[in-house]
Amino acid sequence: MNDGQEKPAASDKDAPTGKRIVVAETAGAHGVRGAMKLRIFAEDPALVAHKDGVFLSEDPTDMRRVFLTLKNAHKDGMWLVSMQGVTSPEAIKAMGRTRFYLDRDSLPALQDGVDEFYYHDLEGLRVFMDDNGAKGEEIGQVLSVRNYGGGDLLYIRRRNGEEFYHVFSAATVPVVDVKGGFVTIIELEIL
Amino acid sequence: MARIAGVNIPTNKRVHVALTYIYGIGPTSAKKICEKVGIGDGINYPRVNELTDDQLNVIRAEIDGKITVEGELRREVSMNIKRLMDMGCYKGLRHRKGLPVHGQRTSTNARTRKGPAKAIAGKKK
Amino acid sequence: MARSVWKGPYVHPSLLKKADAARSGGKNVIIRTYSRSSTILPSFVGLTFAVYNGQKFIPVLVTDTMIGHKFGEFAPTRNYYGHGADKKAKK
Repeated sequence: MNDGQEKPAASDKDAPTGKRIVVAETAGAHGVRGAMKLRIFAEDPALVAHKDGVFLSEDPTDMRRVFLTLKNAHKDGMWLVSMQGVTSPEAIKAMGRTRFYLDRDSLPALQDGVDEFYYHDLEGLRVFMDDNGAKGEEIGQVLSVRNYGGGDLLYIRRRNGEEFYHVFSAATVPVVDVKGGFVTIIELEIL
Repeated sequence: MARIAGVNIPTNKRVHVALTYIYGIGPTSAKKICEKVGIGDGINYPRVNELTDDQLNVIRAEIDGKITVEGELRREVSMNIKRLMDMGCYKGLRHRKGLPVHGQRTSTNARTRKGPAKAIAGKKK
Repeated sequence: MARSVWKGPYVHPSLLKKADAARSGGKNVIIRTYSRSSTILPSFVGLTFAVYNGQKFIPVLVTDTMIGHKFGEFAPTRNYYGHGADKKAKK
């Protein structure tokens, strides 16, 4: 988790962040011609076959990358993928468990005007109390975003170490400022 | 050859057995259908090739009109599963992960849902 | 075996009381409950419940597809959370 303190440039929700995100993970070799079983974390599997390739490291300065091509869907939500330059199953096995990363900025842009955000953009944001639309007291940080079926939830850690879930909806999270690195929340009255 | 509910062609078996070849009709509903259209006496049933065309048509009408079978039923079932998965409730999560839905143990067994056992990476002596 | 219809759906009595209070009160209330086995009634739609999962309260925003399910189904008691590369959250 980063510290949510980056100072991104202009633009709104899709401001460059320099972050990388995991898109997939190897899950073994398949067949004799060096196909790879891949566990894809993206909703859209085509992301893995990004035209500029995917990176091998989470560090944004590390430019090592590989080019993947989707072949077909495998069972259990996995995909068979071929990697450029790899033709033997041994080479895949030698890689062990590898993760593939993509620059945050090469993800498809979010629609403007819709209150929609990538999970990882919300993670790490600082959390303030809402004070009639303005920033109130800072109470903590978003650890992650989860959805157990009852709507998206912000998982927030308070400064005193306490962790809690907060409903992510227009009524309870009036301001989300990815660029500014914060959200404001309205605490619900507990009944 | 008798075609009932689209593709199914059950032949020279007794009616109550032949009907169970249709997806969505089991022994119980097969017997109920026979009872309703007045074929057989509840114990002995004629074979399908002994039925008249009229009798077949009555059975056909009964199934087409009152029972969801085959494609339509399959669609209904997968819609129900999809609904659970989209909603994100516990049963939906189990479906997504391909694990048993009704609270069975998974430490052992559960092979129907989990598929063939996966070998644990080699431990050589 | 399914529950007998004549009994009606099971809902913890205190939950009904709280739901009434929440509906008449302001909109920003969340109803804490330990009653995971209570059925979600049509009258709960739009309310937010915090269902205990043994460790924490998980907020559940009730929508109409959830009617007839139990609260516990939406507050998993154990979970592994994987990665979600391009998951989107909607307000």
